[in-house]
Amino acid sequence: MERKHQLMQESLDAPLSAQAVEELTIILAENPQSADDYQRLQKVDDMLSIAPFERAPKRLALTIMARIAQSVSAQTKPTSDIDIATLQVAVQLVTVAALPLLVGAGYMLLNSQTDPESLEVVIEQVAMLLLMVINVIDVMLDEAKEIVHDDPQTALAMLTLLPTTLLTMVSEILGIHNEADES
Amino acid sequence: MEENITVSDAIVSQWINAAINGDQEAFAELLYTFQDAVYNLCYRLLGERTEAEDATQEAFLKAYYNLRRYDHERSFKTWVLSIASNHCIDRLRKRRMSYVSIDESIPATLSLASDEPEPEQALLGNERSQHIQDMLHTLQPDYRAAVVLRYWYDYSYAEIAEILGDSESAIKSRLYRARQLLAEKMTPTSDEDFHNSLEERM
Repeated sequence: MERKHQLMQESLDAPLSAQAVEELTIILAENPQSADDYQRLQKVDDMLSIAPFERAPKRLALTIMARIAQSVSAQTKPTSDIDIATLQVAVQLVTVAALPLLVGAGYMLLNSQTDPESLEVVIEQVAMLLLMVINVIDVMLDEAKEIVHDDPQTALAMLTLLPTTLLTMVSEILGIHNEADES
Repeated sequence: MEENITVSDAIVSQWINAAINGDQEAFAELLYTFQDAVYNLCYRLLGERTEAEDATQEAFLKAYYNLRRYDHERSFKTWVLSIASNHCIDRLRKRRMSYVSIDESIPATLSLASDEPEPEQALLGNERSQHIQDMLHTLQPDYRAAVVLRYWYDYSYAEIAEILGDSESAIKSRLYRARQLLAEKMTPTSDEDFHNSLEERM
């Protein structure tokens, strides 16, 4: 940008230094066109500086709050029958996946009752296993909660993955391999 | 220029935290405090009251649903104005506005060549406001946004750059260019007025 234009513009935003004022004054005195340009810039600046501030209509805030309340209410309700059905399936799948674990744990505990050393090991393993299962469920529920507002369908789909995740994890821990893999 | 808002940052922060936790009344407080600032920005950018109301609603709804992403280091007002300005600029781009000629849009009464200066009250009136609006509408959306944030909100180049997501130098040159474009439409006043004005400024 040309020096004279820079000085003109800068003078509109903040007071110029004494040296810059002198420089601008000389430019304006020597060049009528620049003086005219500067006058126009000042008029624009004056006009904008006193421009009125438009206030929001009184009803606007109420309208916005009503829209938010309506939107929140719609999001807290299940959005469709499909969502309800998905949620029910997810809960049932988690129950189905957790049941064999609980039965297995109970069976191991009963069988090791006669042997104190085995009982101690079994209790430790069962406790560790159940803690891990609870942690996995907890983490997946937290993640589902975080996205449920933005995307309830994905949140529910995540829950349906719970049994698969649990069974995979338990298989890995207990070293259970698929027969097909072994062959 | 905007009137000062007296609510402290600490209170605003409290409202934001409460609103994040589902307290809609806290969000209403934020809304009442900042609605004028957002509405004025939308009106000045879009130029139409009904559309400005709609854009203000959208901006606050976006703010409400993104409160968790709000960075408490930033000013809430700057953040919400940033949402509103981006929303309005998007609208204007989608609208693919055809920029009207200044000669058609500015009524003759705005001419600065008038011998009778208008009283200040008249300058603050609706008519004047509309004339300024017509002037603004000769600018591209991003130029207009820079002008509005500079003059109505008294933001620095750095703050405008933050709101519009651009560099400070880009904002500076945009503002200079916008003033230049508006100035080209102006009629000069008498030499005497000009020199008086020059002396006052310097």
